[in-house]
Amino acid sequence: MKVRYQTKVTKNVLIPMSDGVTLAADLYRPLRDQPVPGLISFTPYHKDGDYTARFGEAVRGLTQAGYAHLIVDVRGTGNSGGHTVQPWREREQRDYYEAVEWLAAQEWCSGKVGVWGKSYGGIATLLTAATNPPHLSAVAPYMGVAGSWYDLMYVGGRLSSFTFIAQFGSRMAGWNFMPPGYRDPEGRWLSVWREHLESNAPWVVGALDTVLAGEPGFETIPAMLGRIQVPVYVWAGWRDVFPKEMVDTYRIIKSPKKLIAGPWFHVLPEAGHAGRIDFLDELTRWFDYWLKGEDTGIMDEPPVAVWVQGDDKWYFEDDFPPPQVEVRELGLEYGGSLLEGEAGLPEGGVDSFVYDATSGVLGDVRVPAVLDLDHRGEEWKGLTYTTPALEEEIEICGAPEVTIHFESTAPETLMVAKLCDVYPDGRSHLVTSGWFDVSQPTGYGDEYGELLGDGTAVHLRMTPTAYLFRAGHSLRLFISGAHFPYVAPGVGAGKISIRWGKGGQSSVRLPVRPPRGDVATPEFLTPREIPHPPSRAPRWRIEQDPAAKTMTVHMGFSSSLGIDGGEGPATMAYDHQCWATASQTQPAHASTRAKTWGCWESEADKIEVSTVTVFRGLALDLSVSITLNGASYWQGQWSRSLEKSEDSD
Amino acid sequence: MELVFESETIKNLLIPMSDGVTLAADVYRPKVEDPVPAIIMFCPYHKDDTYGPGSWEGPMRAMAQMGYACLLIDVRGTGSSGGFTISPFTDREVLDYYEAVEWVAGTEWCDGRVGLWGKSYGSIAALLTAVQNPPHLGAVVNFHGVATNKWWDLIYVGGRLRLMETFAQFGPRMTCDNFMPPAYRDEDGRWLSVWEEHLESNLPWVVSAFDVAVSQPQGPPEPSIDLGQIKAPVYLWSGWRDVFPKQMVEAYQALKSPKKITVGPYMHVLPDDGHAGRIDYLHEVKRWFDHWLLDKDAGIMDEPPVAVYVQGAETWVYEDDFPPPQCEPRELYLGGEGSLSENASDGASGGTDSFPYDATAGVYSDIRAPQGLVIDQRPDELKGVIYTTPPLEEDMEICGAPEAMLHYESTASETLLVVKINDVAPDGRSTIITWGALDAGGSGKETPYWGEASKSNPSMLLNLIPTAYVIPSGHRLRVFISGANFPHQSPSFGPGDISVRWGGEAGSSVMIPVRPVRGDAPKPAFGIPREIPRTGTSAPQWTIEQRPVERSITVRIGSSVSLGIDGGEGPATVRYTHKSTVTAKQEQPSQPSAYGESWGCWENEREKIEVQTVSALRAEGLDVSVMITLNGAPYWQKRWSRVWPEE
Repeated sequence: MKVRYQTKVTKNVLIPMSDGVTLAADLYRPLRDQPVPGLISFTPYHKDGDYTARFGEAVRGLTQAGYAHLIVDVRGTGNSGGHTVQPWREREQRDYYEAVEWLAAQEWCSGKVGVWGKSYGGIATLLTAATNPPHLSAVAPYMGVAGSWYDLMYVGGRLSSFTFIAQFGSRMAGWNFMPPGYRDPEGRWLSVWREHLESNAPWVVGALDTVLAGEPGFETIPAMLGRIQVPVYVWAGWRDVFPKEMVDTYRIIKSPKKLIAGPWFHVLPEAGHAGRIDFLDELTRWFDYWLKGEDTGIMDEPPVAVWVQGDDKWYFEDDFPPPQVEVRELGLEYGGSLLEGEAGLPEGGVDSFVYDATSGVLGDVRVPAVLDLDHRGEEWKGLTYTTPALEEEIEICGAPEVTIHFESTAPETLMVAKLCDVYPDGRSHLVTSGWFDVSQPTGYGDEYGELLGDGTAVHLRMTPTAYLFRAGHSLRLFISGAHFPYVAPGVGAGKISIRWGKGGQSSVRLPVRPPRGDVATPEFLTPREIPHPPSRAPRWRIEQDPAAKTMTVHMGFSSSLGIDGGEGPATMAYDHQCWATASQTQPAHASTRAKTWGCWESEADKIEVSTVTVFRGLALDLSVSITLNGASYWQGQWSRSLEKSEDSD
Repeated sequence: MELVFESETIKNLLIPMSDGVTLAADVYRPKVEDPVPAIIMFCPYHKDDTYGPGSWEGPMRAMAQMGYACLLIDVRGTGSSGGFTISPFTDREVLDYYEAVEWVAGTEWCDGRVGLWGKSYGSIAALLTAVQNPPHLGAVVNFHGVATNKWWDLIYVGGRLRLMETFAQFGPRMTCDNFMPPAYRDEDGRWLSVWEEHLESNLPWVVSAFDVAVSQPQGPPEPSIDLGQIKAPVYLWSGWRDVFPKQMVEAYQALKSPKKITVGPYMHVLPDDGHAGRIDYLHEVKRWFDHWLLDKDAGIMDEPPVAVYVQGAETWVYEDDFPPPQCEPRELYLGGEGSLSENASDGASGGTDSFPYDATAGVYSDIRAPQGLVIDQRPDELKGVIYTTPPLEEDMEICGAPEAMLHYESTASETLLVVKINDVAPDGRSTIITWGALDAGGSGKETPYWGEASKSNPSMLLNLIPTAYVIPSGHRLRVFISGANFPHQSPSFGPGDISVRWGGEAGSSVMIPVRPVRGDAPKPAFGIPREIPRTGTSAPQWTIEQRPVERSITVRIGSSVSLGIDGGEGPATVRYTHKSTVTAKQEQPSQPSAYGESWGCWENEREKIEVQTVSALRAEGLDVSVMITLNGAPYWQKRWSRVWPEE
């Protein structure tokens, strides 16, 4: 039975940065006589509100295990001073370094510090590691890609208008102008907020400015990750936003490392739809080893733990993809078939489909409700190639790759490939996907694919996964021209043709994991139940207008929580709705929009922060308006356009 | 058409009924001394707004210019007519029709010959009048409306509640209409007492529909209307995409008086407003009344009696009867691997295909989709089973009513089997040709002409809706079987699994009436239609919303109209906005929801009257509310509630 220490929380500890700005942090300390190792999580999601509601129990659990834990508001957000126009830039990375060193220098800290975090916090974790603070001993990034705007904004060369602009961008536009949730008695919170209002810019505006200025913005990910010297425990989820990036991160890092890849969506393992494990126990084993020198056995196990979907089990591996993986190649063939080896079929031919900008609404593995959807509802918007029923099961472990020989008459072509599991009753279940803009390579998103030769073939790298196709099932490759609403649909109409058969072999290369035999498997603890902030079930609607031939995807969620407002109790409520519309006949009219509403309310005050984001064509309009007790308090408005001027490339 | 006479309009002619109630009529008549024949149309849709200046004013004025006195008469309890209404086609209302015909025949400006015409409600009214054989009734023309059981066909279709069209559209809309003030204000102020009586005593028809549905769970009474009794000549007009093609075709077969039928591709609109096959119908109407009311030989009885628009070929043809006697029944047998062919199994083997009941099937395969749109229904085909022929080697013309013989099993507590015949293009796109449905509970809630169900060795024989359609060679014919036809029909309670049996001794099959090639026969030469002025009606809005988290689908249809009218005291504006929303969940554990919201507004310089109505059909039952404001202040309101009976 592990020792659990009592904890004490100090709100709003101030951490001075070298440029005079102070960051604010909540400090959780175990009641111990001796110095203890430290942990830090950085967040822009408000230590005084949303972040603590979602991660407070985890932080408390780590504190009880004997760590002094800081939750630090990122500069320009929450209760921290300074301002922010883009995240993860040099000064913010410097903040991370200085925060680690500050914590290590506290007399109650042993001088060994670890950093961990999810999503933004995962990115911050890797950036911290890359600055190599002397007292940083180990890190654990959870579902957060390392590095640059472009990875979020341009996926496979195409603008991520819905996820990046309407979801993340719009949401942060709201958060970054919300007042600090906790009001200190001296009133520092108000001057912090006033500075945010004065100098913050919505991150999506900052990101567009970077793109418009043609700045590289960030060093490359491999260069940054290659600098990391501390041990890294990478956490990935197959249905998350970032499995590709997390797997790549694991492969690039040269320091001691571990990788765990569960089936999870963008949530903590306890909230997973499957593969729920006590991740806090895992984190504690990791940090206890590296920060306390305890032999928890975590470095004696194989470094990689993988959940195989379909099989629904955990397995150990020595690397990812496992070294035992064999690549099996399946060729696109006549009659929509997908066949291995020389099938002795006629020479070759072409299948065509009309580009449909609305393809993709049912085909996004990152959306939880997609679990139950029959992907056949999408499949007539493109082409399918399906194997015969499998005689034996096949496990895919890694990133499938696709080579497609094609022609397109559409002015902008996104080549999209999806891999599906077809059940004996005909139902089609989405497994993974990949896509790449073949018409105007922007130079962004190269790891998604590349054009081959004279531009008549494309090589796509799908998102990695671990999935077992059972005997009697079939594998299906689905090819279409859009991945709406995740990425912006291409402008213009046209027909896309795929070449199958011997001449110019379009094919799928599957990383197949041979049977493992009798090996030891991970034995994670079952998770504790963790409380979540109250929220309604997320809203997801797909609306079709048959006369206008458009599809609109609507997603939304809301939450409300009680917090310590400093002066007294308060509530922070939040609602976020976003829409993306694509047209089958006029793809240029695709648009996304989003509305957020945030509200801080106590007995004394009610502050409401509303934002509206509209992205139509290539033009962004974003407005923020704030009311205090119903009266107008502050407003901001930004417009940007990505229209290319005549003399640019 | 020659315009012969100048016409004049008489507003609000009052027609006394035998119980003291007066009906109000607008008269469009030629300015002549001599008496002329009269043709009457009954409507509940307001002669003074939507049905007059909004639509029939033009055709009636045209007929007046050709020598007919046209009367547009508001049904008792609606518009400017006195009395009250609690449901369509009550016995008193039907008696009104008889009395109106005879009263008009007796006026000095009518020569004693009276015709009837009407569309939809007005068409049903005309037939209900004709079966009473008023002595002075000379001829009838019907567009898109027939009833052998009064308004049962508006409440139930194929054994299920007519969910979208009655409980979310017609019902809520009429709730608004029936509480709107008379749009024409006579000097004496009769309009106000008419309105007050409507407010006092009208019952929203949707409430009455609900009452009928729950009070007669065993189905309709025996058909009470025998169209064969009609003595007057009848000209039926129908559309393959309309509400009533099956009923109109069968009415044609039942009539014993001189008769004609013309079936276009139309939805529930007049032929000059169709999405295809637009013709000058008014010219044909004139020829009919000229022959039967003016004894002019317009040649209309020399032509073959049946004219039919063949979809796919996009051409009109004549037939001697419908279905054409030359049609040959072609049996197609469901087989393994989704096959459909002329080969009956050799009796040896057979099989079943199963699917889970999905209450949301049907939204993509609604033959009555707004604006004539027929969309790719492959999303629906995932919710059932399909059987498809190989590509046809030659064109196939379907002319008549297909049938389906289904052998099935079901684990659901209620089962509706829906059969759709689809045209599958070479690129895979699948579009609906025709359909049929039957509740497996047996001939309980549906009229027999939808089919017959047998409970032992479960099977059913479905009579599909007739059509005329050419499937081109290279296309394939597909049979799609599912458990729902949402939102047209109210879905069954689920969950359950449905299995369809093919091959073996009891294999399912369909019969397609195939019309052999006609050869060189004369074709109907209809005139080109007049351009009709668009009077402020918006194109209907139609959206299909899928909610993957809730596993439900919501269909929304909306429309609006804005009219300038003669308000009596001076000009006025009448506006309506209607929104219908119907939702079903895949497993449908409880009653579906059907929601209609209507807003009507009468406005002139001094007054603004708004009638806001909401009709909500839900798991608990039905709630209807009417709220009226005058210049923004509350004026009148009322609510009605009904609950579903305990099972």
